[in-house]
Amino acid sequence: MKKEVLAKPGPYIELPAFQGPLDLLLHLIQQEKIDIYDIPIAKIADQFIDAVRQMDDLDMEVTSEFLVLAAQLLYIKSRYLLPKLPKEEAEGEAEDPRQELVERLIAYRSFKEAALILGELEVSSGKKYFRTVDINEIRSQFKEEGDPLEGVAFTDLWEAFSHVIVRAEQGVETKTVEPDEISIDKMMDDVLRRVILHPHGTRFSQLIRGNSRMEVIMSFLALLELLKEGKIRCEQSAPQQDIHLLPTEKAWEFTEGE
Amino acid sequence: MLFRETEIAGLEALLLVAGEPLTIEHLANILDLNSPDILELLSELRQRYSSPACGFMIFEVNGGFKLGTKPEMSHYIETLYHQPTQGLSGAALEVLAIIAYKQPVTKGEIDFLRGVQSDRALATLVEKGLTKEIGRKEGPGRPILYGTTEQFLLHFGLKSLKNLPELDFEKMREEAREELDEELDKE
Repeated sequence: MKKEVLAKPGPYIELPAFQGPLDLLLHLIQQEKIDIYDIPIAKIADQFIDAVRQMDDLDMEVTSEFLVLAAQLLYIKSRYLLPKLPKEEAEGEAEDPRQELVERLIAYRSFKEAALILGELEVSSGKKYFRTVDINEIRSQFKEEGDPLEGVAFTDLWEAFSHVIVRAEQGVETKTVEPDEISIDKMMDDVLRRVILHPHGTRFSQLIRGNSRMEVIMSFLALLELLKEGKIRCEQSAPQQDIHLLPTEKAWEFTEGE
Repeated sequence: MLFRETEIAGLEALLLVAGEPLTIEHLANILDLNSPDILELLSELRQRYSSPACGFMIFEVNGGFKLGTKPEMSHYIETLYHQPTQGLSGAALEVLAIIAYKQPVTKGEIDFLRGVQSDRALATLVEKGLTKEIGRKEGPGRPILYGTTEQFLLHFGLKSLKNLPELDFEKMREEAREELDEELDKE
């Protein structure tokens, strides 16, 4: 590709990969060794356009940004060609049309320099690697709050329930009481309150009891409902052991709400 | 420090598994020691790692500590993962320099400074974890603001952003001008 450039007549412009139009402009200015604060716009504008044309000839990607800057350079050039309006003359020294461009060039050059320094730093500090540990994986090993029914199968709950039922049926005294209407909401309040009272766990057999079959069923239903809502969780240290019921953080939402 | 073998071992283990750099206070809390003790243990550990027979190194970043491999070991690691060291591209370094020195900064501001679209370079930097979104700028469109990450500091071996090479832009301008004047005089 370089040979092609050399073979072309006209000023020789080496075209390294430019980061953008400002980079190209900066390159031209440095090549011509001209003061960045006093750019001969006409000359640089022509060179810039030549360079962009060559990029095009070389099938390099000429992005619109290059064309925008070329247009801006031509605009500035035209301002010099046109006579000043009398109004502008009267206002004295009008702003140098190159001012904005110069500011951008200087800012760009500063960061280009900073990029070079960072690049050197990257090499000199060397590559180091860090172990990437999946923290979530580690956290998941400590079961803090997961499945509220972890390790407790439904059959376990059912079994525990059956035991209580049996005990309730075997109750010594048999009384006949008019069935009280117990709403599930009321029972849930009651069950939750009793669980909250024992933050270290309430035994299932202690929690689910009542004088009547109806009461036991209702409290069991209430318990299931609370489990579903995540206000209570179960723990069972080993199969056939007593199931313990503990309040979760959600349990407090309820009390605070009251 | 004598009789602190367990704590040193604990410190080493903590530095290995921690995702984020661990601060002195945090370490002191976990190991049940006071801060000066932790500093002493850290320097003891550093002493041990300084042996050429050891591949680890303790890195300090933003007042936290992290365990990593010595830069000299990088070629082994790269062989393991069949990935040659690839420095950042010129465009990526330019974007990174602008973000590092001007953060928080929007993509629009970066584009303007460079005079060219920086989408791809920016995406690479975010993907490599060197920069990240740190908020939104108040104003039309609420553009994303970018800043550098701790990974950035580690990558460039910097303890904190304060340790970025100082860039006196004003001075750099003057120096460039003087240089130019000299060259012009010569001709």
